[in-house]
Amino acid sequence: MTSYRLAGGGLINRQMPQNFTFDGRVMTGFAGDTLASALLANGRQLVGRSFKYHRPRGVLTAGSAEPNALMTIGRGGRTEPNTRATMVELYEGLEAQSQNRWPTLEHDIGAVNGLLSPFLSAGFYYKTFMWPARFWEKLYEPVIRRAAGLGRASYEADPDTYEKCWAHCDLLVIGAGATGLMAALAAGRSGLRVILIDENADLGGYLLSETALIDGRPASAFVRSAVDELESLANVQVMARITAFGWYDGQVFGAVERVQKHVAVPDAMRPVERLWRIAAKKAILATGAEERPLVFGGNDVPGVMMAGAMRSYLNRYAVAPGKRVAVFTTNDSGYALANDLEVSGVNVAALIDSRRDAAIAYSGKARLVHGGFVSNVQGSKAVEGIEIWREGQRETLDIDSLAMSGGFSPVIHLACHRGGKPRWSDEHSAFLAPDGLSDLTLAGSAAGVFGLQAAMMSGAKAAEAALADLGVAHAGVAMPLVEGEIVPEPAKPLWSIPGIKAKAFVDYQNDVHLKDLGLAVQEGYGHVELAKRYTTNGMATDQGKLSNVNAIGLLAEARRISPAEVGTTTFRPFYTPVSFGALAGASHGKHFQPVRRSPLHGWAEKNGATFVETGLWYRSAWFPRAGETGWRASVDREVKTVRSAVGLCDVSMLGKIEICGPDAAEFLNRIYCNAFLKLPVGKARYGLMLREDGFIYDDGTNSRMTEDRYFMTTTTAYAAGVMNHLEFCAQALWPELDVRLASVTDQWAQMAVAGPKSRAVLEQLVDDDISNDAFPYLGAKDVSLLGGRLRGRLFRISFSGELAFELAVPADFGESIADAVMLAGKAHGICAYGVEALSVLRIEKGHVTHNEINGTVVPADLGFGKMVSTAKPDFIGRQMVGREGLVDAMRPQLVGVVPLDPTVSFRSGAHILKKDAAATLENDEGYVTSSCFSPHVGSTIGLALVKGGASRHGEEVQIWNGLRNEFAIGRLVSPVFVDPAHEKLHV
Amino acid sequence: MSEPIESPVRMTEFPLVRRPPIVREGVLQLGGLALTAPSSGQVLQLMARPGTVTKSDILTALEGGEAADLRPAGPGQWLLVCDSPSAIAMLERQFGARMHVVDQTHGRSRIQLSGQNVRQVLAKATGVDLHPAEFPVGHAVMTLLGHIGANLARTGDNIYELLVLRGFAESLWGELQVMAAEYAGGQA
Repeated sequence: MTSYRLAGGGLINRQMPQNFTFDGRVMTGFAGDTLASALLANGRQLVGRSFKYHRPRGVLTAGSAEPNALMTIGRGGRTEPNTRATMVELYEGLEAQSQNRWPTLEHDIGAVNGLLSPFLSAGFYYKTFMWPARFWEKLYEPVIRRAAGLGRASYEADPDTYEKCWAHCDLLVIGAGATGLMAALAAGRSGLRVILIDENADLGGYLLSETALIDGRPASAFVRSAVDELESLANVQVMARITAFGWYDGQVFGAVERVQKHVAVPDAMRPVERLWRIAAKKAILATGAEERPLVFGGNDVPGVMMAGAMRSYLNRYAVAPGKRVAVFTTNDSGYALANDLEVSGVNVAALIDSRRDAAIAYSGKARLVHGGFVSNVQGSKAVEGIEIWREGQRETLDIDSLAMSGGFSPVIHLACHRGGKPRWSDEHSAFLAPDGLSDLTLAGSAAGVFGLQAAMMSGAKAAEAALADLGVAHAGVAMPLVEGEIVPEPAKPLWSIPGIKAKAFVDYQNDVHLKDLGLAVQEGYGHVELAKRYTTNGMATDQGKLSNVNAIGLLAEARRISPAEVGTTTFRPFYTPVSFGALAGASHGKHFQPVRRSPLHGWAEKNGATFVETGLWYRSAWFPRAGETGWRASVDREVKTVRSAVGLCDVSMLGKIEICGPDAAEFLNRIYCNAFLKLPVGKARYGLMLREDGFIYDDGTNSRMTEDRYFMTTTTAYAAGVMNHLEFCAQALWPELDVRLASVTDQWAQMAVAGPKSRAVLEQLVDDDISNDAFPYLGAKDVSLLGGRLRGRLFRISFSGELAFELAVPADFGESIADAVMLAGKAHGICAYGVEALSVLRIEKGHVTHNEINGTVVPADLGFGKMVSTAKPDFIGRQMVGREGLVDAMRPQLVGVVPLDPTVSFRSGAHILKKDAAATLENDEGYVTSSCFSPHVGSTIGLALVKGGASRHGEEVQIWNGLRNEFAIGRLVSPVFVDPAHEKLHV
Repeated sequence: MSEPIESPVRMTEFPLVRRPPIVREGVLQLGGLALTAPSSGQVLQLMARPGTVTKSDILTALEGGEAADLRPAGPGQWLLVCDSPSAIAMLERQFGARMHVVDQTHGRSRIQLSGQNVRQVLAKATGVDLHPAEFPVGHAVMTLLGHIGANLARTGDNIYELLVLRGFAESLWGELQVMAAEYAGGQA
């Protein structure tokens, strides 16, 4: 006989039937059911196949520790494998599929693994697939991978959205059972900011499965009034369907809320899951206790269930497990189940109590077997009977379902997430939370306090302690009176059961059975961490919630030591599996990272820019025009226009930092390796910053705008890094210097106006005299624009080697001013140019970027040796830049490279070899750091770092790209291809 | 581009247009959240040696401006939101080298959030506790909103204002709309 729905009772809503499908078969349950209770109500006890042996499996628990009833829910992009049926709320239209079976759940080919089990013991893979080694990659691994795993993920995109959220409170109560409700009531009434969370849809925890009365009413009525009161309090936030999965530093808890996992079609405007970070001054862990399975032969046959779960299905969901039930227990909790079954009209064939001397009174009809054990279960897809072992005697009993209770393990996971180790308590026969958790308190059965009445008191007390710690007066809370409960006091644990013949499972989900653990000890893997890896016990998606304690007990027995000595494996987040969707939150697709837009973005767009992502910025790369066949054509045209006329390039994304204060000059003098103390007001200077180790960190210009105010530019990539570096220097290295820093990157739209006609163009906008005499090379000043309508900053600096200016204007006016420059430049043939042309122009001029400043170069390598001050008392990098290895004449040095045949090209990254050397890395002389086609030279040109390169100009070399098998014959030359005398800068 | 003007151009007549990063006039109402991007007024970064200038020194110098407009932005630093074009001159005259003023009017964009769901939306963005007892009117902090750093101030009962780097303003504006979607009933 199978499980069935009782005619009356339970907390389900019989007015609201709900249809769902399991493996395509339509079934009906009620609102208030879980998928597991609905399947049981439909007589479905076989619900899945196990991982390794494909054994038939049924529902074992009624909660989040479920190892067997794992299903695939939903379809398409909403497919969710390995979902615990015990945690899925039933809804109309739910589609569930069993897993790990083919072709059907009833007839599964993979079950042949069970017959092969003598060869599939723990360590089988390690021992078997070692030889021949070459088979591993080609044969063994692919085959094992195909056979491994449980559910299959979908390849379709998830259509739903996820988000993250923060919450803050004085007191977080995790778990809304008897303990948690009392704690929240006590704290809430006293005015604390309380957050009460529970992983189930309905608050109340095990109270919803209890038949004991509270203040003369059913426990569920007490739950209802407690929740109503809590929800009426403005200072209390009550949340259901939210699982706290981790406890983190700073007293922050991670939790995932299943916002819309209980509906067929989620509302597109709301997330399906929400990841919470809850910052709580104090927290109470009222997570209850997990009932322990017992390890006997066939303890995994569908129809074998945890006693507490069977009681939940009976009382809360009105589902009877069968017609003839046996209960196997080590403690008093089995008696409560036996009583309730009998009241519901289910025949209890036997109550088997492993204790010889159980003191609890029992007046039910079941046959009571003291000092007995269930050693084996008969049946494969359903329970057909059991074998009872008592004082060396075997006896069989026909039954159709079996409940088991091996005692309780407090759910202490979160309390161990910050490094604390659980401690074994002989008194509680269980692992308890570590000592010395200052702001986290455990209460109720999570703290080893058993029974409803005691748990309620424990919850209220924990809240009182939190109130006292926070200095808030306690408003007082009357203790409800519990009547008719059976308190499952801790009993001696039962690890080994006599008379076992069939496979006795320790870890259901990973199919680890008794003999595997024995083998682990025998082969020297008895340490708890080794045994875990050797047998895979505790490694599945349930992370050993049911199995770990039994494994530890069995290892302890095998090694003849106490569980305290065996210890536990390490508890880590997550308590239960968390979807990647929830962890990613809203940060996917175009929200994966923010976009940073230049104030000239609109200007670039309307001038037809092609954009390139550089970090978070979108930079204009080139500006194609009609008739141009490719990017090279556009870039060549832009470069030629700048060299012959004038061009405008957006350089707003370069980092800009204002350095203010009476000691700003001294500060900069220490930051840069070259002199800055005497830079006059109104002048810009190129500066090199070194790292402490003497290598170049970043470069850029710096202009003294007034006596105590400087305007620094950095490279785009290092803008934030340089700002942090300067802050560190100001705050930590030299706090005595009076200097302040402000990032003004976003305040200014900055445009490079470059080319021989640049002055003629800018003179039309700038009211000040910008002639060469009035505003010579490296001038920097505030200027008036457009007849006094705007103030800007003008710098006479050049990256291209041409006569050039950089004009900065307040960002909101950037686009308008760029329009004005284009208009003024029209008659001079102005063009917009992008970063590609900018790059060609600077390579032609021999200017370096982070292609060359790549963390391996010191100033001398780039020809900047003379910039390094010998006069300054100190600057960052001074001590280390003079090291022996950094002044070696044969260090890689900056040099130009050209091909002998101008029609031949080469790429950045290619290596330089001596003319006659063989193409091997042993003969490597250096490499090309930057390369481009130079319209000015008429061929590809490059910058390279070559051993002793500065003294090798004119040498013929090979340019070798081993990745692409390309060779070119080239010549090392001066890195300055354009205007080597720098005359153009000074006109 | 604007209308063609024949060269040689008198650029003094070129129409100068101000373009803030968030192109939106008025209020974007998303159910219980209202978003606006005020572009009037100035944003000034004030920087003094920590401990040498107090908030009240500055307010006195400003002849009693609204308290909420001076937003703490780090030790010895504030972001001042004001409408007075003479504020820079006034502060420089008063404090001289003791405090430096950097104009960030174009560098920091203002985004104002208000309405009944404002705290719920902000809870999706920042780890700062916005409970009225912890974050009173006039309070401000530097924080991260998702991936974007900003200054967050409470300027009224249910009114908060963000000062964000101009380049990130559009991105943040879009993120806030996503966060408010569930209150907007499909408007976002």
